[in-house]
Amino acid sequence: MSRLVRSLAFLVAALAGSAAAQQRFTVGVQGLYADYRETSASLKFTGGGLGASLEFALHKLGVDVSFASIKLTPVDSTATSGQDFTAKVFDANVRWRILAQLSGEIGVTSRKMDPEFAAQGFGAVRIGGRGYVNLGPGADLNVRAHYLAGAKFSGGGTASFPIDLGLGFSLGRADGRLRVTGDYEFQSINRKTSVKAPVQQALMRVGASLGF
Amino acid sequence: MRRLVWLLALVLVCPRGVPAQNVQNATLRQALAAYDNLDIPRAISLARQALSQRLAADEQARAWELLGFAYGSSDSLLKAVDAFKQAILIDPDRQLDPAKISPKITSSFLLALSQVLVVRQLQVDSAAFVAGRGGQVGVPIRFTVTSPARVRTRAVSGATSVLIDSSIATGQVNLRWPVQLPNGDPVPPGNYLVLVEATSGQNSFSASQPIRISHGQVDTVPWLDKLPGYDYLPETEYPPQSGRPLAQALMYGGAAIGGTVVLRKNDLGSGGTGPALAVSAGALLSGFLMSLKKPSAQPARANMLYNRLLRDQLARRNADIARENQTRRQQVRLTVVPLPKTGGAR
Repeated sequence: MSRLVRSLAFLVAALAGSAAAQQRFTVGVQGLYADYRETSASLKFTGGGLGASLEFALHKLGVDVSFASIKLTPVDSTATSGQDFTAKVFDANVRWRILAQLSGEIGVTSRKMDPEFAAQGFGAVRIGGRGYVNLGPGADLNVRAHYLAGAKFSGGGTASFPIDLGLGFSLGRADGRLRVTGDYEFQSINRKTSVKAPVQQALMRVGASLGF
Repeated sequence: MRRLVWLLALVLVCPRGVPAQNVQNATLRQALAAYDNLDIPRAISLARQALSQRLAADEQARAWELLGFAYGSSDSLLKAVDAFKQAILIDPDRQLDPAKISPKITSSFLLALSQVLVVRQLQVDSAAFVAGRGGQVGVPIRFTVTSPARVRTRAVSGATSVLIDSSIATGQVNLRWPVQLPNGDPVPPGNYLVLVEATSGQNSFSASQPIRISHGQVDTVPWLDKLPGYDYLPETEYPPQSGRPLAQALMYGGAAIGGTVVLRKNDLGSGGTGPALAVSAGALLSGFLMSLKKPSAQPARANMLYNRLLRDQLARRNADIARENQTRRQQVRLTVVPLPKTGGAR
């Protein structure tokens, strides 16, 4: 019995060792700037905040999770319906590398507002892809596009073809241990209730990442 | 008068097997001097007198040869042939230079040769080769048999006797001895006598040449660590510096801004492209820096394939060498060296 346990332990250790050689964790912190608009030109909010991200890669598999907290204030302070609120944005994606520079990706996105009805809370499943471009030793670009399926809004309504576009770059050490990162995400959601109530968000993240 | 001219010619061209000053026997020396002074009858008389004395073999041969020349000069051809026969039997390797000797005497000498059975000019060449390799390896053995005879050639050492060849031959005989026993094994090392025995009816003659056979290890082939003329190529290569990273950043940054502009809701007001511009600027900066930077090494697949082929080839060659060396270690390198003769023919 003990021999079987020893053999299993050895096998697990060997597999773990092999996987450990291939896997990579990246953690990042970012400062954020957001431009959020909904329904009409008068409901325009901008603000900043902090975010954090964690990314894991193993062979063709990639997983990333990010969280951001953004304090948004109305640009037009005279707008009667506008008030400050905090958006808590959560994203999680799983991807699988299909080609050398292209991954298929699926994930979830959620944006919760505090106070809850200060703006539209939003949740959806991301379905899309991500492309990688290696610019050289220590610099990468990524571009992504997602269809936001099953969009839900805290105030109700539907969205016909919500889309999310993104562009990111990282610049730093060639081994990826320390990088300056920049990321842009643009969401365009054709929300409809009884009337058109579109939602649009542009989010910029600038920060640093640590790979190990 | 004509006879005198012939005589002069014969004497002037007469070769000296043994120089007169080296001759020990006084009578023979006088005979040679008499021949040199064209006193042929005295030369014959003194040569016969010398032969009745105790002479070394070479002096005996010299005396008979002198008689042959003298009889030839005095037109006693039969006697000349007989004298030459005696000289040949004592020293079978004795040779006249046809360029220097008159045809008359040369023909007497050749006639004498054809009337005796001797094995002449036995020569064993030195050789070094690997036993059992086949092909044209072996020790060259050459000799001349003056009359048709059954010729047996053997290598003899003590009780060991290895038959090299047995045939009926006359004239020049060329053999190549692989230095093998009948079972194919190499002949053991040691001193041997290559013995050539010629038998024709009641007549027989033998000549011998001592040789030394030694064994050695066969040289092995050294391992190859590279194939001559073929060097490994670098498996990575640096692509030339280019503006491609900047162009890519420009393209993707432009796409992000363009996408934003296209998807932007006009009824939500203008603007909102600031984040796209900022991140695109960062991407452009990255692209610009990478365009200035030396590109990273890329794997050179053609070179890697070439190197793999080279390594495979090298491994194959070394495997062949290993097999060859294994065979060579089981082989014996034979060296055959002729030794100075100690005895004569019989």
